[in-house]
Amino acid sequence: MDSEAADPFHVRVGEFEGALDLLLHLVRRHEVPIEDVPLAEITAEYVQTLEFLATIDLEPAAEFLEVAATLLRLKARSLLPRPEAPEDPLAAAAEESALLQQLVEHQVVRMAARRLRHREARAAAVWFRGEPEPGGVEATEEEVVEVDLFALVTAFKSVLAGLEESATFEISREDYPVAASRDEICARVAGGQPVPFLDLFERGAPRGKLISTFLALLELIRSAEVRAFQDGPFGTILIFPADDVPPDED
Amino acid sequence: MAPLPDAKLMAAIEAALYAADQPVDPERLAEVLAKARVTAVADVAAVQAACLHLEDRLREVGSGLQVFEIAGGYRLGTRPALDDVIRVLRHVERPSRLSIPVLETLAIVAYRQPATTAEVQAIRGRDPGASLRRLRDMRLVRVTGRRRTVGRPFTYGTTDKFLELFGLRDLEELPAPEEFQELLEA
Repeated sequence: MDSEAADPFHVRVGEFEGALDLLLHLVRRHEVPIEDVPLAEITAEYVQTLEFLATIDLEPAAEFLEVAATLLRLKARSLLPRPEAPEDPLAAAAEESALLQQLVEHQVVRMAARRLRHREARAAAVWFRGEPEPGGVEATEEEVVEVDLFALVTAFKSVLAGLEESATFEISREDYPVAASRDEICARVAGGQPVPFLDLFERGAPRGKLISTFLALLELIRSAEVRAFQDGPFGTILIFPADDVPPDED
Repeated sequence: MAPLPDAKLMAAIEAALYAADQPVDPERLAEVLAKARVTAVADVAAVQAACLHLEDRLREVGSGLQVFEIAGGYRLGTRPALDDVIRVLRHVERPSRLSIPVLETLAIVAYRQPATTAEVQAIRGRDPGASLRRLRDMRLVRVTGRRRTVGRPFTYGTTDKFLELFGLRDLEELPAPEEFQELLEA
């Protein structure tokens, strides 16, 4: 709470992406149906991501730790020889299937939300008399996908990975206020052209500066001032000003 | 088969829908037309048939207007293809759209209504408080009652404004959850 007062731009992950989103993000990379993913195997990736978030000053909400605890329990069970400790296998299976069920439901909700967004855009192209506040989106045919937080985190991880060698001394993040980085991003995006994600991170910039830029970007996305899209599932991530976005995927 | 609606009735409906600033439900429209002596009695079925016919005719003549069925009523609006014209006319560029977390909360409320905060949270896996407040401020979601369980939590449901914003005739028009399941398995 104290750190929040000191830095008004402190980003808490739970505010816009939850633990289930992270789990979905990891599960999807396995490219098999959710029901077939052995959750215990994802535990390491999940815990690694949480650790990485902590190193860049992102504070995961308590629910992330709850899910981590469940995953670790599932993993521990899958590793232990079971015969002499019949610790109710039914209960273990029930816990895993409950989490999987929640994951499937969560994915359905995500799709429903995207479908609603599409409908909203369609409805916004219809106008009525005296209607003050409209909507509407640009119509181009490009296939673009709105990026979620964990895709951004993964991309940022590669930015930092390229840096480790050259970093000789550590400069604290306080030297690079998030507010200043935020203004820089706004200024770059205000040009009207979408900015590639990687271009936001100046080569050779100190680690503290890179982290500050990343946190500022998250803050801007959360407050809907910019939006991040990707050309197809593994394409370039582009940052758009919020009032000039490509059309929705559907 | 009802007889073809006469031109006078359709013209009166067109005028009424033009002048109305919100969807007009068929009962009210029938009542208005009877009071104004366009029709002898309030005939809801005849009015509904006339609205459909009016829409057919507007399309046939290539009109820029269209009859929409929204939130249980009829409304005269512009054709989606003419979006650009109105946006230039009204100097509007900025699309105002809801964020994905807010849409997710809205989707859960829409499908599960009446739903409590705890029920929304169970599906979303996190606190929907802020999203729910935003949705209530925008009048897309409202309190519909209280659950008769411990703590008597409030239940939430969607409003007519929700139907209007998403161009839905009624809740039945929401895509069925099974459709998503099929998409997932495809």
